[in-house]
Amino acid sequence: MTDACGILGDGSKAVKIHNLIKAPENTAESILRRESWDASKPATVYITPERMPDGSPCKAATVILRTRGCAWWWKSGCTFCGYFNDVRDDVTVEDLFQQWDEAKRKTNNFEGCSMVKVYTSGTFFEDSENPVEWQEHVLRETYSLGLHLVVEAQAHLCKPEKMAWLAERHPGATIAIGLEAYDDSVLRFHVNKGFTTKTWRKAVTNLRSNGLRVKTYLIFKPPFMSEGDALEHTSKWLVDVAPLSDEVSVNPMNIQNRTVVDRLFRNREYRPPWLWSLVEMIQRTHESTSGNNARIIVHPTAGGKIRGSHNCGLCDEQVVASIERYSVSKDISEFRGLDCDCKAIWKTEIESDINLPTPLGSGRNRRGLELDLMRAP
Amino acid sequence: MNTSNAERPLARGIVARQRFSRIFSLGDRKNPVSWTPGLVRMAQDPQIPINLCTFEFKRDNSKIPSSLSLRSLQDICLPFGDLETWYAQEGLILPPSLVDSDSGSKSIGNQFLPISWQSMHHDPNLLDDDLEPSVIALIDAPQLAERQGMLVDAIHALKSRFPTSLIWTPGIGGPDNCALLSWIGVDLFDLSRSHEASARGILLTEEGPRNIEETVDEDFDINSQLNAWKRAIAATRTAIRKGTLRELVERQALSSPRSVERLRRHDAKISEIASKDPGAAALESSVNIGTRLRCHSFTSREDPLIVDWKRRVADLHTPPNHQSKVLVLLPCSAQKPYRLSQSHRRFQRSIKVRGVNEVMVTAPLGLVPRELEDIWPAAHYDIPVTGDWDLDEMKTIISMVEKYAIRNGFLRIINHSGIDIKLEKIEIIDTRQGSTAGSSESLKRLEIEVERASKEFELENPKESVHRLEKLKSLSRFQYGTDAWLDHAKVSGRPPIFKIDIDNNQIALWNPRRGGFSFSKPSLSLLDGCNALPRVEINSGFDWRGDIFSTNLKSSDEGIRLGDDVLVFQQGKLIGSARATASGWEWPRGPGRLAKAQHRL
Repeated sequence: MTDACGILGDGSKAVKIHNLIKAPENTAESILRRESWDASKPATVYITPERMPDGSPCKAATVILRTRGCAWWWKSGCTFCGYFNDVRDDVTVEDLFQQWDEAKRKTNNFEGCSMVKVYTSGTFFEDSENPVEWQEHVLRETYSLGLHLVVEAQAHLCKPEKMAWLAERHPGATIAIGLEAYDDSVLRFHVNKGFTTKTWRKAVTNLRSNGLRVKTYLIFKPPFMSEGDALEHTSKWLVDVAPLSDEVSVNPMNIQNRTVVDRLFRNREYRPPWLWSLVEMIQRTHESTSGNNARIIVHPTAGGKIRGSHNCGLCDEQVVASIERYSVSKDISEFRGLDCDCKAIWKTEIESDINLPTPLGSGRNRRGLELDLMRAP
Repeated sequence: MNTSNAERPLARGIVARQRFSRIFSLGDRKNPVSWTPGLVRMAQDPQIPINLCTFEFKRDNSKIPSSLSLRSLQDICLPFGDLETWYAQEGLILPPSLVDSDSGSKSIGNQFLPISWQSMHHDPNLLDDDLEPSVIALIDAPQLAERQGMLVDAIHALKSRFPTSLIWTPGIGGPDNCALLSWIGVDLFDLSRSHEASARGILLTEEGPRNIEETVDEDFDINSQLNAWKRAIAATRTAIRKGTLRELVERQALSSPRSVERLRRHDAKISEIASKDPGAAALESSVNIGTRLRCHSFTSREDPLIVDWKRRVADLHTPPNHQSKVLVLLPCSAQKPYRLSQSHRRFQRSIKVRGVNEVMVTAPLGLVPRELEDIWPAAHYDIPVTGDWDLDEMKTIISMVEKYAIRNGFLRIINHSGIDIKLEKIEIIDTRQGSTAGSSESLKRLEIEVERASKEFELENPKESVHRLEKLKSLSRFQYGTDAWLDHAKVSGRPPIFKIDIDNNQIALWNPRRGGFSFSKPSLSLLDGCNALPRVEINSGFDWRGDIFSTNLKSSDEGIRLGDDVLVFQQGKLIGSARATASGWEWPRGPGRLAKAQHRL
């Protein structure tokens, strides 16, 4: 049977998924290319319109820093995360202060902003990732400037003592946690998150008891999951996590370079979600989520592009715009009258995914000549 | 959840087969309710007639991983008496490109078994001999179909490991590829692509997807799509029955580049397997009288059957002993066997000695030596003839001539084929010189050159009975790898049927209409002694009378081709012979009858 075709019990040794991806990406050449940046400059600084916790419109600065990165990534790493492209293990405390100064210089001390998001490709307040003195500096400075602060964290790092420490230096800050999925099987297998839903719930308690705001990220369509399953599960998760959060941001999967998802995408084993799925998810959950105070944000990164959430190519712009508008207005009528021929095709894909034993999905490319797309796979 | 051994297995028999495709009858063998290739029904599907669909599939994704069930719509499981539902767990699987990892959770099932590329590599339970699912779902079929050759590899491995199981490739079948998928071994399909076609406003037909023609009131609703399925499945089933599935597959594959690729990949893979074990490659040694092999397309050349013929003639075949010096190349004829054609009767009149080896030049078989012209597929193929050879055909023929002639040590080639052949090491005489093969000048030249060669090389011209015996010996070497059983034989009888005797005991009959030897009882120990036939061992204590089933079979040799005679042993003792009705890949565990009894010693 071993001869069957090299398969069925050839006894070869199994390895962990992340080794399959990381090993080829960790060649000297690849590292050299990936880490060829200047550690004294932040990765990105930009200003966008936002909403304050009370819902009033404002301007927010986003500062993405170059750091030593997420401790979990160095150990294992989430399947879709491409943040490691902005990290290097030799970033010093001086580098971080310089980057912070550079961000302030670029924005003229956050002129006109009421909010600042400080993203570190990891957990802002994890001491092994970012030095404590720098954390403290940023917390206090942003507070003294009257800026609402948003930082990101992993759930298991939101310990009571640290949260109290943080709340003391910047009361009322928003802590964004990438929960991604409200299901332990999915966290373990599809996302490789490194923590459980129980840990997340504990983190929520720790944040709230310190007067900190909870922002929850959910991923829409993790790898190894079909479009249909993603729609059903994420809709459910959204309803479940909204009461425990001040904001929920549903992030439709986009393909970040050199990630597990990127590899699947290149092998035609994964396609980012349909925009229609996002619309459907919002419509299904609107009634339940609008009852509580949590703000629901759906921002299709690279929406309409092949590596982002996309439809047939004709309706994408319109559908992305409606989704973006909904995130601001919370008004379900944003989707009224929205239609396209591709919606029926999307619907059959969802039905097949849900009703067939094809856990990795049955969908194929969405763009091209109708007859060619229908030719036998 | 219940995936226990208490699940009742599917009652199934095989009604017809060709290579890796089969028509299973489902339910009581005497009164089946449905057949495969067929459909599996899903929640969103319309009603489907029971003769096309006897299974309903349900998936519950409320918990991760999902729970699956496959329900019979009729009383088709053993013991009869009620409907049956099989349960399974989908598991958490990785896509094929991450096959090196075993992360996730295993798919679980008993009579209905979900399998993935990953589980085929990492799940030791699949090696358990007791595991004999009724239906297998290849749950990453859509992903395997996206990657060159993987679907073919996966299905071939499953067929060999689970020869009794029905295989379902969810999400990829359509009326436009069901013949092809049947050809590589898939039994069950679903309507998912037809639903997609409906949504696109396209009709998915047996010839591929196309727009509807409103002038004849065509529709693309799901019932129209279902009608296309009905026609496609009917065409596939009837082709399997008639042994003409290959023709259908070659036609159907043209509707999609992926299908063409898949057929090529499968041809290459199976041809490679055939060179080691023709039974594992599902090749037949003889076929029903009246079967034709229609090689109407270029793709036919890649049929493992054709590739195997070309390889064996070029690399293995040895001519009759008295014909070892001079090779005469002749054109083929539309009529088979060639000797019955007008043109070949004329050639025979010009070739007046028995000591030259006549070999026909043809496409797509390349070369057909006269002594092999009655066997499958030489006596059965049919090609379109324009009178011109294309480059590929010429290349094939010339390379085969070179290999055959040099390996067998021929001293001269008399080339009456009209193809320009030049070899460095062997003298070649062109008797056509631009004329047609049947012209009186060409025939005269052929006659003169044969005559001249006969004198120059002092060719033997044995009497007719020796000539016949030597031809049969050569044929036996080609078919069985040995001619030792004919060492002391005498050939008699009226052509074309020959009687083969040893010491006035008939040991076999050569019937060119069947294209094979019919062995008689006294020959069996002789055949055993020279390893001419594959052997099978049936269970001790079993009183063998009729057919051979996997249930009474202990073991079997490799390399059994459908149509082969096999020697039957019990406790090491030869007790008879049987004729294989199943290909080697189905032995020894295949469903239904594997061989039909011939002789009981």
